[in-house]
Amino acid sequence: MTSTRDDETQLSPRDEAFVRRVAAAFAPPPRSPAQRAAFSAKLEARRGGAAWRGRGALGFAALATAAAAVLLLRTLPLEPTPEVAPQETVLAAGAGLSPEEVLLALASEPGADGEEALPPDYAAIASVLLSTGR
Amino acid sequence: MSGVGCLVQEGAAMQGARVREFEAFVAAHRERAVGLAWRLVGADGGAAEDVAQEAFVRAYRSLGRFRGDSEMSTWFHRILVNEARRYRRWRWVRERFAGPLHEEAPDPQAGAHGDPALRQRIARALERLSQGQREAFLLVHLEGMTVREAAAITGRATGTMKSHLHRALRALRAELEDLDPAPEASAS
Repeated sequence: MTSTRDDETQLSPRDEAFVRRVAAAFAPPPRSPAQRAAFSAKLEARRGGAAWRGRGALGFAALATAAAAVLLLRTLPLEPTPEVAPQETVLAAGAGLSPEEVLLALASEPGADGEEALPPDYAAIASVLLSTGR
Repeated sequence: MSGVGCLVQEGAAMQGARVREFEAFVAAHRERAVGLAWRLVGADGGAAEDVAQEAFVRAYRSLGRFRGDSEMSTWFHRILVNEARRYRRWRWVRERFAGPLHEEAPDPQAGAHGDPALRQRIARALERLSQGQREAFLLVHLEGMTVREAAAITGRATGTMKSHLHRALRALRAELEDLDPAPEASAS
């Protein structure tokens, strides 16, 4: 059996019939409106109750602004505050990078996976900024 | 500094757009995500909801790292499959040390939806497949994804996926032969 595209499975009629029976028999039961509402409420609670819309943008903007502020601090004869220590660690690790590169590194962690948790430095910065920015 | 300021504005706008896109995606795919999780974890409604919720939460937290080099659905389903794998590993360890988690908890809607006994038979047959075979069969034949998309979601080559599909189908037909139509009935 040949296929012109990788995404073709080309089942025989008998295989197709078998697959249809399995699909019909192994299907999730439909959820009631109450179950859907409970799911949404629980999901909202797990995310901390914060509004979806704009939160990511606010966090990103706050983080980027803080990164820019820290860059300024590094050019001034001022002692860094304890709150920015984690960022300093990140910035120290990125010594030699341009401010834009550091900013991009802080905002978009180049990890191997797309779904791994944020690194501790980034998470610590985000939590501090978001908690003081309200 | 102005360059950084522009980056901040562009980044914030981009992130806001992604959040809105993901919000719409969740609304449109929530039920399908729970359904896929249900199949991946072996027909456990409670576990399916937990897996789906954890996947949505992880995806939201990782939204800033979504580069857009794949479709959002592929990216999210990759997270969902990984969460299902994580749950299955936890369940395997849990059952090894503390016994089965539950005795096939009764589904409150079982009576109104299909044959629960047959559903459990299929679930057990799927459990006897390898992880790769099971995921390939579920994603392609039960969820209707293409081989390429399923390969991208599971992190496998398309050739490997096709091999998994072939072996999964053969094993399931052997174990669920009463569901296999008679040869003369399949004549087109």
